[in-house]
Amino acid sequence: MVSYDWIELRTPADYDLLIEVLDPEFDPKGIAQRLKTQFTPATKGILVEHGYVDKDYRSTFYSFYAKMARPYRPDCVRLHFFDGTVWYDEHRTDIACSDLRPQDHYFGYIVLRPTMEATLGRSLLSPDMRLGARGRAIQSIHHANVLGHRLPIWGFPSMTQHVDIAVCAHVCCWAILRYYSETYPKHKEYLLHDITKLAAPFDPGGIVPSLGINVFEAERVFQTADCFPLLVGRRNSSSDEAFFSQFLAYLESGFPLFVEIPSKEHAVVAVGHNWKQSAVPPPASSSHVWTQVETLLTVDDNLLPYASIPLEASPNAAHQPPYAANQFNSFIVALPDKIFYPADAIGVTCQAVKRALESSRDPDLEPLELERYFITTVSKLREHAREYQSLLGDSLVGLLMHLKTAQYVWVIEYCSVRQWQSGHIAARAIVDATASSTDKMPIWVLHDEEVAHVFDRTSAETQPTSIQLSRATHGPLPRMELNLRPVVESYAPTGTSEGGTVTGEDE
Amino acid sequence: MNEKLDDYLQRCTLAATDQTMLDELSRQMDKAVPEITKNIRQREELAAELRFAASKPSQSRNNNQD
Repeated sequence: MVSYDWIELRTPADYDLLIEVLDPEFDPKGIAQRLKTQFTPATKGILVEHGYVDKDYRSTFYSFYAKMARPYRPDCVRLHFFDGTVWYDEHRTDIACSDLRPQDHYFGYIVLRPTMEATLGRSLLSPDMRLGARGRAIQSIHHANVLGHRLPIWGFPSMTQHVDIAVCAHVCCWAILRYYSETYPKHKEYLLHDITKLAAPFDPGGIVPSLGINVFEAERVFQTADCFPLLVGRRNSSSDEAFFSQFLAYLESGFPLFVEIPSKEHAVVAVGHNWKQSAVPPPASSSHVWTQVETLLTVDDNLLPYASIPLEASPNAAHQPPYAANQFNSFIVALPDKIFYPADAIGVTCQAVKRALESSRDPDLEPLELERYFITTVSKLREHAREYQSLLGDSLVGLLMHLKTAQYVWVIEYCSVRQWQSGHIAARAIVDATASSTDKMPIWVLHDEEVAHVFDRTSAETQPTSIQLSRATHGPLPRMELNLRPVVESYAPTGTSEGGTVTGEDE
Repeated sequence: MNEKLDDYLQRCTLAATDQTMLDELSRQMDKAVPEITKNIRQREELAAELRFAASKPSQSRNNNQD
């Protein structure tokens, strides 16, 4: 039977009230410990929904747990998180809030599985409630049906591994494919047990997945799920820039990345990043904006989602995060079809265009010290143009509205360190993401603050038409931040433990 | 060029052609293609090595159960 409990959170210690309302097979003690140390104090109420039927748990239950001699329950519990505006009206069996808009005060949900261990199941949480999460993250809108309300949540799917039927790499594949199915209608939804079966060429039975899956098998999962996986490895430390510039290019394009960390025998999903507060001059060897990244956000099945991960482990840090980006060895990006021009090609094109721009650039102008490139859709490009119409000017906006491109384009932006700090750019190229890597002129448009060069890709001629932008404001061109949503900075911890709680750490 | 875009460009104020920049762009893009081909080949070779290493039993399996 479905029933409800309400827990009001006045202090983090109130998470322990979960122990009173949940059966031991949901591991309420372990869950309470995680929540109290990893959520911000913005969470003020939990609606406990007993008897919840979870499709992903049921997929493993039907194929695995139901066949075991030890009895497992088929039902789960779902925890819904709200801010302090919402309360539970037991008489009306409804949530209530002063502004009658519970959808504005909902942080998402966690499903708890009755598996005694690794009980934290399918979750959809806002990164805004995660202690230490900051920057930008790949998110899509999901909906939860709660007591007759359809509540929206922006976030990224996550869960912990089952340990027996599925391990971390399965969960990474599941999270990426669930994000795709929730975001893009053409993608089919795969339940967790479907993922365990996709990884192998035959059904390996129940226990075999617990040995883990490798990058080859993860590629197979994405391929079978109608994606086009690209595996990018890291050769040695001298190729760090090549690896991480591709990593950031795909991440900034809004593609969650399956990341392999062999030194930890682990896999995680990279979903976001945080720029450094103050821009730093890049080293002579690199002008890519990877030099401006402070931390990454990962969805790691050992932690609550949106763990903040440093680029390098600091030996002096009071609380060590479980790993750092310099331990990443490879990643898989599951691309849609119609993206034929990869990040390692755009990296070379970016340098070629930069050298051309510099060849006739007025020496009094600010230098092109940093570059950044990412994929976006032409729709998003036009949304940006409309939003910043007054800064871009009518000519450039009109050009972008008339441009006949494929769905996906690469955007390359160039700027000085000072412009980066203020969110501006000096020049931008829009490149055909469907171009062949042997295409000698894959550029649609190249523009700076004054002039746009428009290339005719229907002709073998590469001579562009150049137009004056005639921008009325003559203000700076704004940087495009199109694909990742900002994370609202977390609150400071309020006494969960001495010295505060550090991001990404499980007890 | 697509006719609508061409019509639109004809209505805009044309700019003086920066032939120095465009010639350099053309030269640089000619040089870029073999470098791109090399990069892609190296990436695929490395990916093949990773797949080969992963195909050995009990190696490169991602199963952290912390």
